[in-house]
Amino acid sequence: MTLGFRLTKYVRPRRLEEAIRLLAEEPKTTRVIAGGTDLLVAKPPEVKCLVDIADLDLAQIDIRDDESLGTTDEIHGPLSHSRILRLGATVTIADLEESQALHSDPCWTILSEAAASLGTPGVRNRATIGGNLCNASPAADLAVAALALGAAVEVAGPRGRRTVAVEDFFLGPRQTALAPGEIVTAILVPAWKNSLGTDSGNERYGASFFKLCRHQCSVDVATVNVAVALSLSAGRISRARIALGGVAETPVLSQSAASALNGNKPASDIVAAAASLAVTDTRPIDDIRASANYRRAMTAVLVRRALTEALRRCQL
Amino acid sequence: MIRMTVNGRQYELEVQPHELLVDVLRQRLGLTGTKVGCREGECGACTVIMNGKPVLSCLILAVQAAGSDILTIEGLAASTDTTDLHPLQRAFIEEGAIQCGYCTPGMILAAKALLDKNPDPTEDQVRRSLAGNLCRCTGYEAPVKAVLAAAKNLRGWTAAAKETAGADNHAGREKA
Repeated sequence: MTLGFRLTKYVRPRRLEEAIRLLAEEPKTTRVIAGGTDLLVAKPPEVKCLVDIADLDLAQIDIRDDESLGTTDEIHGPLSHSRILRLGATVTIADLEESQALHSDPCWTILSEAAASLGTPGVRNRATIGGNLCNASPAADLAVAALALGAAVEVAGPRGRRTVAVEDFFLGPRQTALAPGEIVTAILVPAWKNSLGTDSGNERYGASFFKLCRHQCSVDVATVNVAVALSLSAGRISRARIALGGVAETPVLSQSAASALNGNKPASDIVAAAASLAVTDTRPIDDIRASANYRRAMTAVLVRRALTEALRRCQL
Repeated sequence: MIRMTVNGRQYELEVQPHELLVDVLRQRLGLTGTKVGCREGECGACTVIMNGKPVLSCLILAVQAAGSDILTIEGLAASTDTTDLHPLQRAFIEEGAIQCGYCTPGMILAAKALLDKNPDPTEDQVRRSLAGNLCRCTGYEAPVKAVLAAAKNLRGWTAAAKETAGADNHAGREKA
């Protein structure tokens, strides 16, 4: 009944090293399975062996203080992330939707909003955050939210562990920076509150996630989705990340929109300018969901709405 | 060889790596109440409750379900006697929420998982919980009404069960 699928082997290792060894052995025909909600729809015929990572204890959500991602911001240089939200790779979308930990930073909540917008309950109960990223859909909801937050992907492989920024993780549609044998073990999300290390009580933070799709139904990938995260310092926008999904080969950051915002006081003309500029960072295609022109037009609309909402949240 | 519990009964089965849970339930265990619609996680007809959560059995390999506790529509009523129907099943009949019936098992199980977690849901929460179950006959008004009616009914059952502790009724059974 499962046409196209020629599975001959299924393994559920208890140790990460074992999973990595199995993956590295036959990388072309071996695939990681977690929730399976993408893989068991695609049923790629070349896959012969599945390595189920359900028993690797990667489903924890925790917050770590005094840790650094070692990341930098183009405008601000090194960021002093003192708090990191660590989302294990097999945390389900439903767990993310309901996680209280996400409420301890004003910007992290967009992960929960993106999770709630993904698919249907039956999908969300199985699908994982690691899977949503590794599937590398250009419109992956969690990828777009993670990109706006400046998150990184924690990877383990035959050569040890490494961390890859989300903006460097996607190479193209369905293509990631994972080397043969590598497994995503967690998503690391830096705190926005105090991220510049200069919080004098005048800092404000806000983020939002907006998605355009025909109706909420599991196959219905976003036509366009947008996530933004902002910091305000003494009434001016001090840091902005605008992530766009469904409008290029991968989720993309709009540097043009960020530059239009940085250093300015929030006002509707600045927001409108940033929304128009965001369109210049898209490379959309025509497909069954929408035309490239429609995607460009909707990018401007969603960025404007997302920025307006994030700024409103900054004032709360 | 995998072991799983289905409707309270333990099974030991030899399954192939590519076999889907929905096919094992239907073809190997004969539990054909779980329906197959699209085979790609779209229609919700194959919804079962696995370890307390509604999931799509067409998107789960049988081997992945090893060690889990599964409830299908056949395990919902107290017995095969029609007078023993679960309050959700009764409400679906009373509200006229069934026409061809193909989506009904999935819808009822999605609703059961909701009511187990949230005995007093809002209409919006009911609609969200049924968002993955497509119906091409009645539409969604009657099923939503049925779930709200069953929720009210079940809250009554639970209250009654608390008063007469130990009494054999649905609410009591479900906790066991």
